[in-house]
Amino acid sequence: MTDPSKNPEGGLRSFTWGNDMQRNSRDVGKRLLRLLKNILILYFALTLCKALEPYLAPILNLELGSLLISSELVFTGVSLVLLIYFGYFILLDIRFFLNLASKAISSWLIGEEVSRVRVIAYDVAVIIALILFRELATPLLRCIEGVGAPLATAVQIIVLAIILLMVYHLAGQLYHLLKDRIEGIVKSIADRFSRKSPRGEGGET
Amino acid sequence: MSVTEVFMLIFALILILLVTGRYHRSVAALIGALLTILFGVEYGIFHLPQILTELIELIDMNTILLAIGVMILAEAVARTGFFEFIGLKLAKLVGSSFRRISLVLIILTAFITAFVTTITAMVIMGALTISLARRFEADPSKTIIYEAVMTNVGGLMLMISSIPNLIVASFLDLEFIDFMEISLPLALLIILASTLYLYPALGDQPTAVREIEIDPWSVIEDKQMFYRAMLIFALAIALFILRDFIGAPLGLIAIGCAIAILALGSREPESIFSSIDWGTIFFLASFYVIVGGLEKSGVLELLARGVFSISTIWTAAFPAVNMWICAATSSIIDNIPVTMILIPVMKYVSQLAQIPISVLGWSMIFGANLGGSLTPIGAPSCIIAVGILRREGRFVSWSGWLKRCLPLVAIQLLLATAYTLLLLKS
Repeated sequence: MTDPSKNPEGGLRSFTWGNDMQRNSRDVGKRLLRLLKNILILYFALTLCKALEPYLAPILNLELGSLLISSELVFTGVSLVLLIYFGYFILLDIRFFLNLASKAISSWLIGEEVSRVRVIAYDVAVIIALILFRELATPLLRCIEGVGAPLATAVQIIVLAIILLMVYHLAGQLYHLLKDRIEGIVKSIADRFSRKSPRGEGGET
Repeated sequence: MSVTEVFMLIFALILILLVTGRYHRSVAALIGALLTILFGVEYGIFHLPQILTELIELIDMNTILLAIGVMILAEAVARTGFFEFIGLKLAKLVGSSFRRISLVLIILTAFITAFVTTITAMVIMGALTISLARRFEADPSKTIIYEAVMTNVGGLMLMISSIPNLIVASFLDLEFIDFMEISLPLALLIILASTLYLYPALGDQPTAVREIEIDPWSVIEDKQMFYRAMLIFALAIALFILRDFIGAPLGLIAIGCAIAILALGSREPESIFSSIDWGTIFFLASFYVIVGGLEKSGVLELLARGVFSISTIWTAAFPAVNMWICAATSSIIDNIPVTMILIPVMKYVSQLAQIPISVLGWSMIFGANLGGSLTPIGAPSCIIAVGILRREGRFVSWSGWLKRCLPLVAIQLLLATAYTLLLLKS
């Protein structure tokens, strides 16, 4: 069984596009494989638990004082542990792909932009443009006989997916913008206090 | 989604594109106009069989023709070297102090902008200032920055001085003389106050030990064309003033005089056509379509109700507040869309709050023109001034611009505020 925690790229380390781009693009294949593996393992493990539960029910009914440990309870607990363990690594990989997709979509639609404020403005503009496109294209596509309705639904789903990715990217940019600003303020306040505090008290060594 | 929600999204999209400068402003406006037409057809605001007639009804052809005509006239006159000639003549008159020459050039910039676009005025005066500064071995930064500020003051003077003036005058149905009666006194007052501020603000400047040799006639290449162009330009101004008696629309007069100057006062009509700011014309036409769509979809009424709730706080001071809002928005976005969006909004507010529409119109003109000087990106002339200085190896930061211009623009806006409130009382 794969132990995803042993992967050096795993864990909670944040994904950065700039310098890590080349290395991360090499990682995509590995991560995709690992994601599929984990999903399949989780799926089979849960199915196995569900399948084994009726057979093991007579054996696993234990009474510990007033507490009754049923096979249902045991398998629910085991399923929950499996779900948390594999779910954590699945979410990590999904986050990686979400970052990758949102950045790819954003750079495709917006291009390279240095200022974060501008990127946020462009993200909003692209989201508005996509909503308008959806509003305009859907009734037009529905007019096509035969394939119109499914085509319109497909376009709606695709546009919705891109909008969600853009919203994810926008949220990320807003978070980093606020984080940078707040960190800057905190640093300047800390600097001011450390300058004002007398020798020996202000942590000067 | 409702029609109002869709058009609000279109409006937001255009604003983002204009503020970020992702596309040229005319391209952004064309995108907005296209979206307005597409959604207008979808939501039944426009009707496909007669859509062209409906769109042409939305565009104020008089303003468009007037803008094209004035641009051709101004370009033809500028090409004769007339403005450089006046600049050199005045520089020769004031003597050997670069501070005095700077002051004269700054004031002259305001007067030139009364007749030509701010871009043309800034390009002419910027080049003249650089050449004179080189002779004096002086720093032209302050002079060029203040010239950019004064282009926006000059934009107040006449109806033909800036596009917002044309739009508001057309909306209020103002005559050339009516416009001048109100705008000129304020413009002159601001120029006077600015002069008093600028003389000490220009600081120490080099003085030539011996008299600098300047021949104003050296900039006139073709005297015959110069006189002809001057004559036609003077005739155009006279016809604008006498429009009441003639009864013809200003746009027609401007186009007529433009044709005359192209035929008689210029040897290179092709080159004049290519230097016309067609982007502004497309921008203007597209924005008329956008505003029409916003009005028909109910977005402007919604906006007006929001503005009206602000106006109820202190109705007597609302025109002044409106002026400051216009100035603040014009310092970030182009003043043409600001004026075009606010005109129908002010029409609603005027009815709801019982404030004369003319006063609101004037407050918009003052704010839209003067506000452009607040930031280095507020007006095309400011952007050109920063560009000229950059080419000379002098970089102007935002803080540098604000440090130099904020006190001056604040004085100008305070004067305009007092004048607006005076107009409301009278």
